[in-house]
Amino acid sequence: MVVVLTTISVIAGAALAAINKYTEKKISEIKSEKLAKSIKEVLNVPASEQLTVENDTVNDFIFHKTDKGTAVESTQNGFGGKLKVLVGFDKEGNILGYSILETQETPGLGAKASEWFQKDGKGCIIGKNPSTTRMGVKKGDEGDIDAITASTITSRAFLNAVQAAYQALFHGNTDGLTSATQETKIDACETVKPEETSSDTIVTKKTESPKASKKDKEDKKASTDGNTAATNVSAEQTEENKAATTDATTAATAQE
Amino acid sequence: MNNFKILLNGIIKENPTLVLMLGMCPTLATTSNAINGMSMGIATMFVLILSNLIISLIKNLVPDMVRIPCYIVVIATLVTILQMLMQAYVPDIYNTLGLFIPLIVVNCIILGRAEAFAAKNNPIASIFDGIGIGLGFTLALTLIGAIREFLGTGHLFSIKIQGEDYGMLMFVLAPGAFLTLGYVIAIVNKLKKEE
Repeated sequence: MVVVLTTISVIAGAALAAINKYTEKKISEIKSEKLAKSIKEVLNVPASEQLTVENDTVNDFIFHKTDKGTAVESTQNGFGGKLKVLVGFDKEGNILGYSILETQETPGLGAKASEWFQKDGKGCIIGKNPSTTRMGVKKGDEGDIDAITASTITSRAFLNAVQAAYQALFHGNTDGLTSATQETKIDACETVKPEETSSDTIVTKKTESPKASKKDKEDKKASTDGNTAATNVSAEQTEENKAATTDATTAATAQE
Repeated sequence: MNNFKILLNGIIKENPTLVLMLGMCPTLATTSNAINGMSMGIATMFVLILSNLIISLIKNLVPDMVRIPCYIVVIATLVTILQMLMQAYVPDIYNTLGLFIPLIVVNCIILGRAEAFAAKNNPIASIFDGIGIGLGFTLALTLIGAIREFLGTGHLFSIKIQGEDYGMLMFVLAPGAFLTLGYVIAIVNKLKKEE
């Protein structure tokens, strides 16, 4: 009885060791390849270009220093688990790009973070500097960034990670968060500013079909500064349409 | 029972998810889209076929008193091997399924089939049972995943079918999993009764 169980366990252990030896190298290769690709991506360096990276780990932060800027790995707790973000800063602290390395956020909601904060996303952070733009969500946190629709916690975690990365890199503050205080903004994004929209407008426009709001979205892309106010309505409207699809959606999203 | 019958038995008559109601946890958790559901099904099928084969080979060597620990060791080894192979060769799928792969060890379908089938039948029949049950599980998960993905996002196998704003997000989230599973089981029961 004991002999059989021991034999089986020993054989199992040997098999695992063999497979581990065989796959170990490949797994670490894939990981470092992915990281190298992400670093180039967040620093706006073409994939074909060679880049010398100097790595440095301080507490929970990992700095990848290059002559184009520094990419910082920063982790926060998101809605579904750890949210690991790689943010690229230039020497002045402007955000060059970001990439989400690890995420367990809700598909369809929080998982949108990989597009939402990019240059053509609604909550664009590219080109902004955390010393002049408050990295927090507009509603509730007195920040300057639009949260992902129905995913405030994910947005907050993401922005905290960016802010923490900035603090760690430029102020050597690697153990906590302090929010930026200055008010001036640099704005390189095609963002809209929903705070100008009153909640009444949203409610009354709610019944419009999703098709209409899609058209609005396209309009918005073509919009100039002149009609920002008009397009704001459509942005909120799109979000509202989604939320109005079912009551249960609202319940589920309210939770997040 | 010939091998073909064993195969069909696993897919239709004893479909693990829709008839035997086994392995509900991965069914609910991984079917947020069709591809995830299918990958989970295939991963489980891989473990199931090999565990059925190995267990039916060693069934006469293992004393009755330690058979469950022995089966668990075999299954856990296979799952860990699968995990390492997936990490090395299909990292993208591994990233989405990550957490659920180790949980295949405690998936009751696998231990259930080891006890109910592989421990009593010859290796060839056990392999066919593994394929049948595995396919049944994969098909059920893919179906539920496809329904949830389509209703939730308007995509099917990540291919866009409906417009951007189409989709009831609820179906991608947990309540949608319960609803879809419930309705699919109800429809299967209705079809079975009519037969």
